[in-house]
Amino acid sequence: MPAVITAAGAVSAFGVGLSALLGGLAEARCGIGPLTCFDASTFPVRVGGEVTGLSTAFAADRLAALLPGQTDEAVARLSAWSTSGLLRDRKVLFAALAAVEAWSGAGLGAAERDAWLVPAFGLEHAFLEDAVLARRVGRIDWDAETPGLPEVRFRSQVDHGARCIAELLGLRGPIVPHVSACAGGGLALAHAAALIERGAAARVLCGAADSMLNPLGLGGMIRLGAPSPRNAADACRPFDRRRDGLVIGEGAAMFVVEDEASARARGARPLARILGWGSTQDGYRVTAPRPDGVMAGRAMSAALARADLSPEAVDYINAHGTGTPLNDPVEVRAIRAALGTHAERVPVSSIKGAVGHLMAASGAIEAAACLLVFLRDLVPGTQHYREPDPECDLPILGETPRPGAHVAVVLSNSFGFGGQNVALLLGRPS
Amino acid sequence: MFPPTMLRRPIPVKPTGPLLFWDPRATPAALTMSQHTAAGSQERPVCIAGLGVVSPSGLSGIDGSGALLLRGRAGAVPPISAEDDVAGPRQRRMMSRPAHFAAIAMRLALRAAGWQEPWEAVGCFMGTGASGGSPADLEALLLASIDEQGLSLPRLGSRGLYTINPLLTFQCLSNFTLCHGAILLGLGGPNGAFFSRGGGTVAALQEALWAVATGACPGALAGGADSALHPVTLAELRRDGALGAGLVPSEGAAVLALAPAEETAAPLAIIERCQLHPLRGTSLAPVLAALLPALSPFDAAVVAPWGTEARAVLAAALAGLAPAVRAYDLSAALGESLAATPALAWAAAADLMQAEPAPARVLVLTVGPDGELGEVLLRRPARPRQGGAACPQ
Repeated sequence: MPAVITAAGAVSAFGVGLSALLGGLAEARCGIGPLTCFDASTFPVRVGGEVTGLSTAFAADRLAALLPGQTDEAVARLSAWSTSGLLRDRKVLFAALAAVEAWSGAGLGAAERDAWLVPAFGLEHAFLEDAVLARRVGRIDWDAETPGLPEVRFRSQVDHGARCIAELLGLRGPIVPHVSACAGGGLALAHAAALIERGAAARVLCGAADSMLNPLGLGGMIRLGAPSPRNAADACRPFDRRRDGLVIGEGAAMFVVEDEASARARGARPLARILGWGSTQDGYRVTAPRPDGVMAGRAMSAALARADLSPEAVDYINAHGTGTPLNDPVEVRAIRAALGTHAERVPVSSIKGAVGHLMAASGAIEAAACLLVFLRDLVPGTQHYREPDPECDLPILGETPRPGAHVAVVLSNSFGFGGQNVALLLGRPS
Repeated sequence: MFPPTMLRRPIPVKPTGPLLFWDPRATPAALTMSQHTAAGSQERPVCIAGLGVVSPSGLSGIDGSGALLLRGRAGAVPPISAEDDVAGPRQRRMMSRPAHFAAIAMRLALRAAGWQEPWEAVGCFMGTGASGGSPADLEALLLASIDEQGLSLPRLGSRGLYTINPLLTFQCLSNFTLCHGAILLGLGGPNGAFFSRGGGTVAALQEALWAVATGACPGALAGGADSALHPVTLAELRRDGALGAGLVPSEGAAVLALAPAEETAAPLAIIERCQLHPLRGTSLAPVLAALLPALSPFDAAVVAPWGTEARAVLAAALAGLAPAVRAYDLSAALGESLAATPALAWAAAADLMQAEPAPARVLVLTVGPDGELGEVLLRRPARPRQGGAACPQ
């Protein structure tokens, strides 16, 4: 049973909502700016793709608008989460907003609550600073109670966001959270399509959310040397000769995936078809991708094989394109390995210069970005790509979006820390 | 192990209850061929070709002796000898305990299956836990970031940041429970890492079965690795009331090597079914009441309930079956290892199937703290391995 995406929701540096993301990309805007979500004044990296202007009150209003008839419930739940401290983890709210947008956009309700929930989340570590604030001593007491501060918890359960979505929407189906780093979002979508294809699920709410814009998340990445040292809006320059690192972003993208026949039978309009997917592992090193790009290329080839498509069928590649000196040339080699001579002709772009690297959510937000092609006939550009690099000599699109009415098949790549690779093939709905 | 000063309260590790029921004289039910394969009607049956276990009892494969069930214990995994280890000192510094266990279990499984290197085509799907970072590293960061008022973010940015081990991220990222092993062993096939307090590990097995059955890879590893003894996880379990509800924290890893049954010379067991049943909006008892008759007949069961209430419900449900089945409580022996528990239960069931006389069909039911019921049904292969141990007493 072929799988289709019938609805999507998104939260990004461009704002809350899929239309905000697509609008920002269509207008070639840049969402990278100074960090305001915590005091990063002494951090060497002080910019990111931050979701700004998102208060609990705003979120409550939005949820209430998307869940007609459940206004009081939505407000009560948000209030409870806020009291418990759960919303200090920004990705929980992002996931909830994106999920509700997708769910309501698909026209789903109580009858579909047996849907599977297949989200991907990033690392959970938002509360560590609270531990010290609570204890007020120079020692961590990991297993002691914290009287008087019930909102302080050591949250080690990565799936809190998933539980919140399930609670908000009353979902009763299985919850399977992916934790595959930067490949998580793409793998979650692939998993959803696989469940539909083999008849294990009638519909799946899937996607990803992440935010590493907190002291430990940003600090850990700084110590790895991954972010660009330039605190400027153009800090991330995918495939550009001057690239010097990534920019961390935050946000979420969630999708409703269904089998095409039943979706159309209930009057849903598919936004995209999930034609194929492939996943591999580099099995190489902890700190670097496999330099020859062979396994990443095999993920793309596996996606094409599953879709029964030749490389020449690909009309556009939404690249992982992190803007690091090491990763971009590896992806170019991988694309060449998978597409052969067709790699010289198919346009490539990365949106990470515009919204940042959303880590676990990158594959999902980039799949949502690919909907720009099918919904607005536009191919997103590559923000801050101005000087071609001989090491990345593919048809990299510049900053201006291109007409995309002719684009029928899109390849979207995501490559994660640890060497997990995933490639998705999305098709224009018939 | 974690610094002993971090663990302020003793952790009860004694078993919480006896084995449910064991009768070595029972005659196994006749082998029945279910029409319900794990992955659908058009795919090939998938078998367990080998497996590896890392538990508080040490490293093990299986020998039909029922050691995991009858002589297993909860608690910490003992130190790994250099001979048994897959990682050198430098690699181990980047690995959380679960990642270390997983890598060892993966290699045990690959070798037990007799698969020759390179293993580049082998897939890998793992249930993983969370918060693998060393508390000592995190404490150093925070201690360097404190001023008179408490945590100072400016101080964290200017000083505390530089106490962070650059490799800390690779300990904390949950997918590295899968990736470290893949890197050490050269695994390159389809893959997935699923956060698990039980259900995610069952999902890992489902996806591995599908990958093998549909030919996406010639073989795949599936399992789980975790430690409920990490201080952060333990603190959470305690605060959530899980310890008071009968959860005995433990740690370990188990990995199955899966392959098409017709291509495996000496399969341990065929995986007939693998399903995940969420319990939100319902409770365990009615789900079992509907499920068990539909799955019958089976002549043995391995259960892994995370707490007292789930144990009682499972015991009642299995005791009510006619004819009665032999049943074993893995959690009573090994405690609760969260993401590792379902895989340990499958390993225990596969071990039972090497005994003499071997049960024809073994049902494995796992109920984790995440509220999902895992159901895996194993059946004896047509040409089982020879030389099983004597029936466990």
